[in-house]
Amino acid sequence: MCCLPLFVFACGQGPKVIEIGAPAPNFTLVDRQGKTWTLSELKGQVVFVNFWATWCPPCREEMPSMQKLYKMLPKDNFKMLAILNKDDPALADSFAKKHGLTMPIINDQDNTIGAAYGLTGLPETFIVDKQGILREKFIGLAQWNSPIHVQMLMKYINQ
Amino acid sequence: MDFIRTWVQALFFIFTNGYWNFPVTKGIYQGPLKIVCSPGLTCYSCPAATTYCPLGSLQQLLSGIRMSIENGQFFVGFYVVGTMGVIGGFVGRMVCGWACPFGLFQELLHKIPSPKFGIWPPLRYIKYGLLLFMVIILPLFALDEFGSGSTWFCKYLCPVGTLEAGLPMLFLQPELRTSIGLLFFNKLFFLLLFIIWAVLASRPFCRTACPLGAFYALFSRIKLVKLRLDPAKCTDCKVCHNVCPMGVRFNESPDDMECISCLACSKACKFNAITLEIGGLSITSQPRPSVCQLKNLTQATDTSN
Amino acid sequence: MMHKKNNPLKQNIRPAPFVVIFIFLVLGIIGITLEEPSRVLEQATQICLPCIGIG
Repeated sequence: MCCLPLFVFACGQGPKVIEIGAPAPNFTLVDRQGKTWTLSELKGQVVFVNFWATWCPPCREEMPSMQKLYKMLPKDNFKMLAILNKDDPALADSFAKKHGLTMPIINDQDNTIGAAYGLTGLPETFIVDKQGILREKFIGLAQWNSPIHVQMLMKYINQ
Repeated sequence: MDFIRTWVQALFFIFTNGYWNFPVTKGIYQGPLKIVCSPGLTCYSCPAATTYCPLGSLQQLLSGIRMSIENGQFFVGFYVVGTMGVIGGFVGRMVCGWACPFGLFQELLHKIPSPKFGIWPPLRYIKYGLLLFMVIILPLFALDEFGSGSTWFCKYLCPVGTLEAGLPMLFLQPELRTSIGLLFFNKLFFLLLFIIWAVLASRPFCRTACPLGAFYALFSRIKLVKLRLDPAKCTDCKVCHNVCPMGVRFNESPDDMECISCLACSKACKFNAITLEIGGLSITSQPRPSVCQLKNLTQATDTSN
Repeated sequence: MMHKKNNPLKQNIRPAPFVVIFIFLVLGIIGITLEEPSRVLEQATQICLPCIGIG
């Protein structure tokens, strides 16, 4: 009981891990096809960073809509990265194969990128603009090929 | 004994919810301790949680069972059920009375002055249905388009998840507030229901709805540590009926599936008829006034009335 | 009229709990050899928000 004040006192302090409007934390990782992705080298393109895991039902649920979005948007100035958070990459590979996912899947086994982005939970999605600035953060699942999200992404792509 | 039990409850609360750096990190504990099973019901998505919730983990594993088997990994819940079974085999529902944070929470709520009510006994069977359907059958067989189930109990019902994970996360991460919907209000309703009910009645969640309690209850006859009635000493004075927080009539059913071994009856029994035993060996036989004396005394007062 | 019986409490060790604990211990060890704890850890250290009713 005497520790309860500690709870209350500590609330609201501490640095924020990530902020909208600030440069997105950089990372370099290899995807499942062996291609290396470095976020800072993707300047000039809008980057869609999605964190997921195969065991998380809502993450799986939004994958087909992400695939549709990936097909729909121009490849040359839009990149989609599906970052597998602390999961078995073999499971992700078979899931991707089964459901025809073609976007790059990056294995973040140690949660290093996840920690840098201060993940609250899964799924979570970040939109990085052409200047490498973090513009949007979505916690929870979304229907990514719906007009509202496509418009939002087109706005950043056309900037 | 009550004092010791409170301390054990507090220790288990700290052990299972011991990560207090979450106001800084604004997230949950992600360290290796989470490989350890929490004996009681405590949400592992709680920012302070240091151990995993057996029910949550079991539902997750069962809901993904097809996917893992297709990939040659047999994550079917052996580790989780094995751990739960070992705990159950040792102490059974003693966990509810001694180690469960939500049990402690309900006990504290019940101390709030109010008119107190009993709980209609047949409601106790609900929890076995919840264990069977919400924790096992639905996660296993109610599949989505990707061939995997869902954590039905966590998602639609668990008040512990709302209290320990839902509300704190909404507090820590204000942007989450935009994403709350019907699902959350449904769970909030169950939390409020059990909070109000816990003030009015003793341990309503444990008695009616807890699937983990239901699992441990299956060990009521065979568990290592349990309470024993000495029928020779029992006078059927029924004092144990009134003190039991779980509504057990101990002298009528000493192996009751509702018994949480909190020892309230043992303490209340003037004839030392209820003792704690380990594997058949009695361990609490405190020196009390001689049974013969007490029996003669009560019989004398009985006849005089 | 009740008489106090003089035979003491039976102090026989019950084997049943040990059998049950052993069975579940074996089950748990099978789970460990199948590397299930690492899967539990993966799932326990990340929140699936909609799974707990948010998002």
